[in-house]
Amino acid sequence: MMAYHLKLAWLSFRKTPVMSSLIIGAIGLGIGVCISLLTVYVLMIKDPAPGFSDRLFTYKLDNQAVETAETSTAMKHPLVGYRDAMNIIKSDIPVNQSLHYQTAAVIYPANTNQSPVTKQLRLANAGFFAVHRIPFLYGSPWTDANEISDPYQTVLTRDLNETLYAGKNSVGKSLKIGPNHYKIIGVMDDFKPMPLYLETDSGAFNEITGALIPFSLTPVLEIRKNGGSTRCRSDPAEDTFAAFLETDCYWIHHWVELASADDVARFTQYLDDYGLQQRQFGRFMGNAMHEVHGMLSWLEDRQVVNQDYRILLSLAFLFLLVCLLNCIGLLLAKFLGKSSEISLRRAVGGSRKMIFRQYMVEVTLIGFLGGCVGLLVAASGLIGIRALYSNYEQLTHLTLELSGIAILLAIVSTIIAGLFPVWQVCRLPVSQHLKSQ
Amino acid sequence: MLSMKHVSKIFQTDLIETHALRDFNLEVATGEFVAVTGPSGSGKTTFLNIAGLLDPFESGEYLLDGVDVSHLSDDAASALRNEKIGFIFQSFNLIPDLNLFDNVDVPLRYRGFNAAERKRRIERALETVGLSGRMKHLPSQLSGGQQQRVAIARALAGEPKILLADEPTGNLDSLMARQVLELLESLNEAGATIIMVTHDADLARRARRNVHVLDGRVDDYTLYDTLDQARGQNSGLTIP
Repeated sequence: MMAYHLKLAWLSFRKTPVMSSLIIGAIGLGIGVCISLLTVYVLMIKDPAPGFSDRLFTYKLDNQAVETAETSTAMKHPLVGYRDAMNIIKSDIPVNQSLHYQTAAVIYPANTNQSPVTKQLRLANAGFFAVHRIPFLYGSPWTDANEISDPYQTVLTRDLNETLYAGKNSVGKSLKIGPNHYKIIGVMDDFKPMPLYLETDSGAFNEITGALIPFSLTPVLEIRKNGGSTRCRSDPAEDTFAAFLETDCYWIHHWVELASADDVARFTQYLDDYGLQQRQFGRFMGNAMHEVHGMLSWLEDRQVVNQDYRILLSLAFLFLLVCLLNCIGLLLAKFLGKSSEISLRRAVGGSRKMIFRQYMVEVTLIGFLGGCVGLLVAASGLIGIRALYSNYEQLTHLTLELSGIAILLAIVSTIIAGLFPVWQVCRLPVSQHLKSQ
Repeated sequence: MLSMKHVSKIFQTDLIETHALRDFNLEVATGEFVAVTGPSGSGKTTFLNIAGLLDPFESGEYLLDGVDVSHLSDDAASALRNEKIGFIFQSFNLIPDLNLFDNVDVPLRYRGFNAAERKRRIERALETVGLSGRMKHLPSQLSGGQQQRVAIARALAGEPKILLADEPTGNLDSLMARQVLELLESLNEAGATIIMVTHDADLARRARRNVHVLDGRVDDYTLYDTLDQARGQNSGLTIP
């Protein structure tokens, strides 16, 4: 009977192509708008480090320069200064600790036919690779020991290795970054956490590209941060880089890997103790309300998904509702146009249940086709979003899972919209419409 | 086959209450060909709708092939309609998107027959009405008379106990009307019970019994001794 109902649904579609197309178009538009925004939203809120996100923590220090009764979370800076980073990293509570910041540098390809390129450059300690589980295509990262003893080494991201070496193994080659030559010791495999939780100050939906060099080179090469946020409480005493490092400027990302809840408590205590110790030097005059954030709580704190986007998503679903309300009217008109046929079917033995089933199959087919149109609309919408917001590149890809959800949502919502019209036509007075053909 | 006793039907609006049938009594035996006549608004079609289980009635008793249909659920009434009743309408009521085969197939689908059984019945029904060579044609490709023959084939395919015809020749010219009527007569001769509502007195005379309805009641009825007598347009015996 299902095949028969599908055949009748198809005939019905062919009989009223304009009306059917309007219904399918309305559903497709509603679903398309919802799914395009939902695609972005789902990627925004997903766990960017599945399997170990619960072990990753960062913190906000209550580093007020004057005594205050209470420091709001907004007053605490999400980044850490060089002096504090160098002190706190001495803690042996974390399993691993990651320090890094972003800058930019001119990179000179070994092939002189290629022009120099300006790329992202990150200064990162050895713990960076361990904390964030960076996968390697070739070679390996530096270690705590050789970061100090042999700092002129670099790790390339996969895309830079593609650009410079056509994706071949470049480990062992020499590369000029800025004024210095570095030995390539490793090439990262794809590392695209989404959102980019480890670096939310320069765009949570950017990608890590370019090259990385050891964090230990920061004071040596006097490399300042370029991109993202740097905030200072006061001007450096002198116009030197060493003075800048000693000033209360906040610009470094510090992530720690903690193995247990006990370690989280111990690390929090460690920060409190550190704050009290620093207070003796006239720093950290706040109430020592330091905050340790797990990674997912950090994304909330940094408002990676802002409230405006949530409102936009709600509006998209409201739009779908409006489309479905229109569909109810259109479906009712479409089915009432078949009153004579419905009455005939009832007269020759079709029960209300049978007629209901037949038309619900038609509604389901309309929903399916609406879902397919919705996917096309969503794909177009995502292209539009990509064109408008270049940093959303990674968020604007329709996944198989969301495509399935789109079809399912279209079918379910159309079935709900179709219940009233189908129920209405099943209750038509049979004898009245048999005469009217 | 059909027994109605003291059946009444009221159509009610906010302002008006219309007694379409009142104390309606009729017995139709198996194999009879009954014509129901009467002026417009007399209750002929209401009777046919109730007889066909298309409309409910307020009071009285109605037995169809021994089954009391007074309190049937929609499912049960639909099943009974499908199994025991074949409808022939004035306006044919064919589904324009379906070809002849599929039109005749409609009631059989609801009966739940398998594909082979449906095919056998459809082919036989279309053969009976002389349209077996046009199974793939759409209704719009047929004349009015041929369309009515398809409707008769659809009514016959389920092998019902009774055929209910509502002005079956009302939309046909005289030649086609005669062909359709001859088909109904031959079906009756083969044993089918037929109740035909008509306002055409000449047509009614070709039935074995005429039931005249007036103001929602059986006013009188006429019996003919034989079909030949009826078709010879004899006056017959009128029983008040």
